[in-house]
Amino acid sequence: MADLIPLGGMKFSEELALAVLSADVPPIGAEVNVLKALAGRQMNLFYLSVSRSVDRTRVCLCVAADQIKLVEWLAAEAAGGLWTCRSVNSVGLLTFFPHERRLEALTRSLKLFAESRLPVFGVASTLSALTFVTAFEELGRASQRLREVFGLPDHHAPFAPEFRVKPVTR
Amino acid sequence: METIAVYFEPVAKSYGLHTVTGVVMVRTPLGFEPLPQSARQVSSPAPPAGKFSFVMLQCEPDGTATLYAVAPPEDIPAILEAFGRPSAGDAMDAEIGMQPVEMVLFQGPHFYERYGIAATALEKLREKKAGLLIAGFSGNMAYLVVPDGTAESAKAALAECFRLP
Repeated sequence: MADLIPLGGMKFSEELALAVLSADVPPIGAEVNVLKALAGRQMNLFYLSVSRSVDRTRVCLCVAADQIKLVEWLAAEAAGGLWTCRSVNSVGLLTFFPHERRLEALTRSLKLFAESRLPVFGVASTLSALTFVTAFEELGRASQRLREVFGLPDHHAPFAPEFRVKPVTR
Repeated sequence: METIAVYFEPVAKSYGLHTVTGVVMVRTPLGFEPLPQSARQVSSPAPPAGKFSFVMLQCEPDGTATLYAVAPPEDIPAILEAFGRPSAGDAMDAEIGMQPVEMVLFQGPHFYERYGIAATALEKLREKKAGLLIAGFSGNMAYLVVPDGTAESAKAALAECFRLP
């Protein structure tokens, strides 16, 4: 059995919802209109990935679970039918750190999600952390399974948000 | 109990804009059907030894997924092999996209729980007609992957809309 990859910690998000927006051959920067519309409603994006290719732009974003209908509406409004929006309710972010840029940390965690039939809706890295978008109700099981690959400090329990920051207009 | 904190910041603060040059982006589809099974393409008998600079996986509810990995050129063969693709030297696989890129990355206080960060950054790039290939925002960080040779101009554009140390 391969050695455990040492980790410093794991973190869960609150319950979120995922929207996947796709547009075929959109004008360059069309996603900015959607992002501006969301910002205009003071909507936090807990996770965002954008890809542009010659024929398609794709935007995956996570918002608070109770805001997904507004996202769907704004995506339709922002560009008059340009975007196809598909959403997934009740997702969560599982973040672990540090990955130390190790390809092994990515491949072994992806493999483990696959073998455990844990959904993966997206992945993104930062300098130190790797974040998986998965089903909110599966965060605990995912965390347990990842311990087969990663070594966490003794008695470590994943950090979970204890409060939610809500933007207000004053 | 409710705690109210008031924080007013007309120009979003960042901890600095950093560029990464001399890297390569690999784009490869993963055939998830359903989603988790796609990761079964991750097949490597020995742990891959490569390093990545940035990775992003985009999945759609129907099971299609695309992996984007940015790394120094010397790590690309390990990435391709880890995902069951030919090594860089043999790459004739039309599904694989590979190109030299650069990155601009930045982080700031509580980016993940503040609205408007991504809109501000990407709107500025659009205004300046700066190219963007992919972007990933998670945690406190933003990664912008831009065409080769354009990181400095993208950085200069972003410097106009974020407060720098």
